[in-house]
Amino acid sequence: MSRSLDTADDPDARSYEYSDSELLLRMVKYLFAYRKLFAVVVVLTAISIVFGVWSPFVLRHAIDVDFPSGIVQAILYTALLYVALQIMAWFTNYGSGYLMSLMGQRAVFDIRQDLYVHVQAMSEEFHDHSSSGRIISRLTNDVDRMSELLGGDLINSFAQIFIVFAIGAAMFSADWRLALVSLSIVPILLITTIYFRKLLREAYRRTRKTISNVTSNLAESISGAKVTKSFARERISTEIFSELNDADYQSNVDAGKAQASFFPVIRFIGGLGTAVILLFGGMLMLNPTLTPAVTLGTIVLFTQFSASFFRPILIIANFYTSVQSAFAGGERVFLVLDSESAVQDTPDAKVMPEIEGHVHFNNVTFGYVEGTLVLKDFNLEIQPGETVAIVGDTGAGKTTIVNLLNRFYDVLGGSIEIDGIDIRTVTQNSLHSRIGLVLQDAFLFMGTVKDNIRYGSLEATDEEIIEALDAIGARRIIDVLENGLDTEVGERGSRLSEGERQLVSFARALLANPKILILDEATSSVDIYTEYAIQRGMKVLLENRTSIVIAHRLSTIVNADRIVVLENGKIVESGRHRELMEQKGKYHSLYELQIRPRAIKTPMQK
Amino acid sequence: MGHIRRLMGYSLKRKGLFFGFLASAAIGTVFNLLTPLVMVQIVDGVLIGDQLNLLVPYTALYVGLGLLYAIFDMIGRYGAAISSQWVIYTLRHELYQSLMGKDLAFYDENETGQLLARVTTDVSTMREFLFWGYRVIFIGTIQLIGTYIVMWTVNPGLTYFMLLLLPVIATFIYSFARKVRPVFRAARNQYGVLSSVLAENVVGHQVVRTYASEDREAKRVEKENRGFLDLRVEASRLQSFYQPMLPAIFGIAIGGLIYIGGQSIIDNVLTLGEFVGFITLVGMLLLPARFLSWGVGMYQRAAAAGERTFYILDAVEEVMDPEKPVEVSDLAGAVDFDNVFFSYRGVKHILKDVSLHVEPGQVVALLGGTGSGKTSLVNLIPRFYDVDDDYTVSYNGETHRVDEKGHVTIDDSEYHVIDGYIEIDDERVKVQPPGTLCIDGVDVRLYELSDLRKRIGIVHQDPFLFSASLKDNIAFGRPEASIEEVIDAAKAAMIHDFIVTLEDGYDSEVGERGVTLSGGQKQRIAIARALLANPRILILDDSTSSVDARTEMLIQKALENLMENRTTFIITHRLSTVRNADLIVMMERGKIVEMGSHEDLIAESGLYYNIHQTLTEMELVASISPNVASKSAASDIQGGSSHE
Repeated sequence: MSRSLDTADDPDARSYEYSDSELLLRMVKYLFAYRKLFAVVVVLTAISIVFGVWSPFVLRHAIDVDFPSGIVQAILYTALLYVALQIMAWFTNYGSGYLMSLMGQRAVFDIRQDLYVHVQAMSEEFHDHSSSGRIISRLTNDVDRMSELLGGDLINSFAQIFIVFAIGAAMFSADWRLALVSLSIVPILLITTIYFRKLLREAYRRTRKTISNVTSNLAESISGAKVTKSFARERISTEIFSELNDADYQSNVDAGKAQASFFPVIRFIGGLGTAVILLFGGMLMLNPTLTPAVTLGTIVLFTQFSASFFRPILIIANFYTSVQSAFAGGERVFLVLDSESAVQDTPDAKVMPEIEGHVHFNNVTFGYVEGTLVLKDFNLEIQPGETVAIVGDTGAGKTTIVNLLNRFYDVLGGSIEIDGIDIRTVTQNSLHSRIGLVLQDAFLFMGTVKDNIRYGSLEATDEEIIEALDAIGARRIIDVLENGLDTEVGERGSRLSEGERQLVSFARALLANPKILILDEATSSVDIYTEYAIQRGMKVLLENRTSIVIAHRLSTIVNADRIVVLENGKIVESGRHRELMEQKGKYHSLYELQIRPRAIKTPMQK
Repeated sequence: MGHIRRLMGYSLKRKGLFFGFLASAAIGTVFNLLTPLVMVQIVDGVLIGDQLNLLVPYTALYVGLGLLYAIFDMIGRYGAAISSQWVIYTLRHELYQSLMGKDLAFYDENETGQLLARVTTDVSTMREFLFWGYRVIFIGTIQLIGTYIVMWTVNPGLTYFMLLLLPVIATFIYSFARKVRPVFRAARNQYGVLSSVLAENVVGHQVVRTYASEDREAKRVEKENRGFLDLRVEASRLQSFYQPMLPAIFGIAIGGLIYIGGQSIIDNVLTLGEFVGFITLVGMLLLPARFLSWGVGMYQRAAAAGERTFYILDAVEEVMDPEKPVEVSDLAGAVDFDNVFFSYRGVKHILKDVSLHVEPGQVVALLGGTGSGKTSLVNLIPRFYDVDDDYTVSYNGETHRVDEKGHVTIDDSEYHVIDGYIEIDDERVKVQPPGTLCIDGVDVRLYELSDLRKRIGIVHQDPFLFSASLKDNIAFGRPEASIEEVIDAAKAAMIHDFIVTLEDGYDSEVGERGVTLSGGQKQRIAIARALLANPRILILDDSTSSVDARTEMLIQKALENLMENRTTFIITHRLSTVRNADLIVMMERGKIVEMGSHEDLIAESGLYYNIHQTLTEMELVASISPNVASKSAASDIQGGSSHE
């Protein structure tokens, strides 16, 4: 079963449907698709650790052996070795960093691609239950949350653990007494880091809340500026905003204390480490009775190591945050990936052949939720070329008929046949390409008017597009646009008016020329000129094909070959306008109560 | 540049705080710079000089310096946090007030999403600069100079050699800014493109499916996704190249130090302690290199963000309160447009020479297509925009503006106004004075804005509700209204019955976390809101969208209640509403083309008559309904078809 996405709101919230290890494993699996890269990265990382640990020893050698020896040649070689190590470390770091991100970003690309393909294949049920905003945020933000972890943090953090161990081992090999002293600082460093993390998390939680209040108030104030102005409420609104702004200031200043002390304190502890090494190292060095003796080079070596200890520990501490965020995103992404589409092509699904347009609902039973049937033993036969207007109250089941015929949902009982073929035996894709659907809210894609009209039939020529526009009587309206057919419609067609969008969607449907057309008539009205064009366009659109119209306009209804009146999922009346009016039944009352008041009265009532 | 200076102006409003945190950061840095000197002493004086008794005091000094550095650094950071937060607080406050004061032209020109980004994301970017940027650039510079000074005191010879690092650091900062940042920016942009393609696919999934274009869309997504992958990998590649480059450069410097330092030690011009101190000092140069590179990036981003944000503060407010507003107790509701011209920001005339006189309590129906100017006309009444106040000349059907000096440019030639006329080819054309819009005989520009707007109610086709309770939404214009008054308004707006079915009734929250309202319900809430505010003049944008017929009847009834005894301007397409209006105004391209009652206009047989007939024709088949005589229908078909 597909599930709703409308639950989690907090970006870092977890539902714990998956355990941490499951999530990690699954993400790593995506990385493992690039095994070879992975292996190279591991090798390069290991080499760079070796170079990193090696360098201080070279320095020690210089101080303890070469300088006292006074041999310039030896010093030169040591210096060259040091330089070579640095350059090689740079290149191995470059290589591992680059390959790591190449691998990680490819994994993120794959996850996003998988998720998109999956969402595209999900049935309508999924989309009905999840707001589009949430689905979009799965595809964008949630996938991206994994990007840092997969693109470096994961391997890097593991590498830090090895670095810590490598440095530890190197220290012990150099001098176990100094090593113990140096490492004594590590627990303090860890405890302090964890303490501050907690403090900061609390502080950030508060600031997140106050800033989101500020942001949402701003968003609302900007969108509602006209209303605020028309009621002359600017002063009160400003007062409300000031309060929120003030709260945000306070919470941020409070958070500032923890924020300001964190790094200096950690760095001071690191400095203590160096001091301890100097102190004990000095004591050991100046006490000749102790063996083995400690040299100046060893002390320098330890101060160098002590400084490089610090970064791995910070990175490891940070890893937790990065992982939390990635897990939260990953969980939401995998939840969607693991949900199954309620409607699926059968393994032996055929391609829907060319059709004539005979539609038959055969004893169809259907409900969206268990226990509540929307349609029960529903029968409807539509002849090729017939125009059927479906009328009825909200909730009578009009949209359900559209959903079922498109196989956006599967029937629970009975069957739907087109030209005698059960729609469950053909692929959804081929079914959809035979049926045209014009939605109430005309959706346009970014691009030009022309691109949008051509959406369903890419090979259409400019002449054909203009013909289609002429046919529905929309030429004049498109011509008025700034760049005519080449006008950019903007995101979701926002640069066109609602009426213009509808006309473009009509032209798009006409050009695609399906044998069966389903039209969910828009209830919104537009300005008089466009309204007129829309009504005319609709007539042309419905000609010569099987048409099912969820009708709101009187003209559409009375022009239909047959009116089907739905009530509680059943057809209660059917016939032409005149016949139904004479029956004085449901249609008559619908007409009097709803259809007629919507329509304009005939003039000249003298 | 100017934007950063302006931002600095805000910081400088609290000079003590600003210079305080910078000073604290500087002092901390100085303490930090002194630690290598202690190190030199420990090595040379204690370890090599074999003076164990000095070890503890020197180590204590080392720790003490570290502690002082930490304390001053903390103070610097905390001060910076307060300062930056305070600037942001002030800036946001100013922005909010500025936004509230803007006229509608401003909101028309700027998309909501972009405005929001300017006051949120861009402000955050500036905060980052205010918190980090100043300190980072300041500390970076001090530490860079300071380190060299300390080096020089330790060993001038080696310092000259270390100066070679300067051009390398500069090159690094420059090439990082030039090469890496643009790729990051490009990746961010591509993310935007990818997101919008994905969003389009999700929102339009039914269309994609209907046209069976899943494969095509999948390819489009894959292309953008791959573009994003490539850019991001390239950005990471560059970053992976540059990031370990700095430590490598400094490592190479240490390698050089080993060689040159080693020779110097052999030559007895350098002590071992100084050598060790130098290694620490070279490490200290890493910080300014990082900080300055980082600071440059923040500076660039903050400057760009500042430009976008200050744009809001700088946009001119054209609609302002008069200096000496007239006192108003109540309005009768007479509205008079006299020769009104209007253009957005003086570009193209949207309204041309509009004259319209409305008596108190009259209903005016405005008709016209997109771009006819009907919306602009009603927006002038509450002064969302102001009537043009230029003198104009109309010649050959075109209207031209007369500038302050009395010049007019027509077809590229300039004319001068003499005695209220201009002369074009021996023809004297009269100069028209600017038009006026009066309510109750007083120019709207003489009323105080809030006085004026409180007396004008507006109900939109797609009303905006705030995320507050239903009660608060209805009482938006009069927050002090009692709950009884709110309920009365809701009843008259035909929405009370719906509200009481809700679990929390009038306390139900509207918006994302509250109840979801349909378009029709929202509209009726907006009607209740307007009813409670009890305005004298009403502006209704009545294009009911996406409501079923029953809801529409409720809205119709609610509107009737609202319109009672109020001067009403209604933009509508519904002829039944139009017919009942006292005055019908047909607009086309910014001009009133017909005006009068329904009967007058039908009798005129003009544009209104034609449109009325055309639309009626569409409904004619309905005449078989028993309620309408079929004869009149037949005659209407003929009347209707004569047009076109």
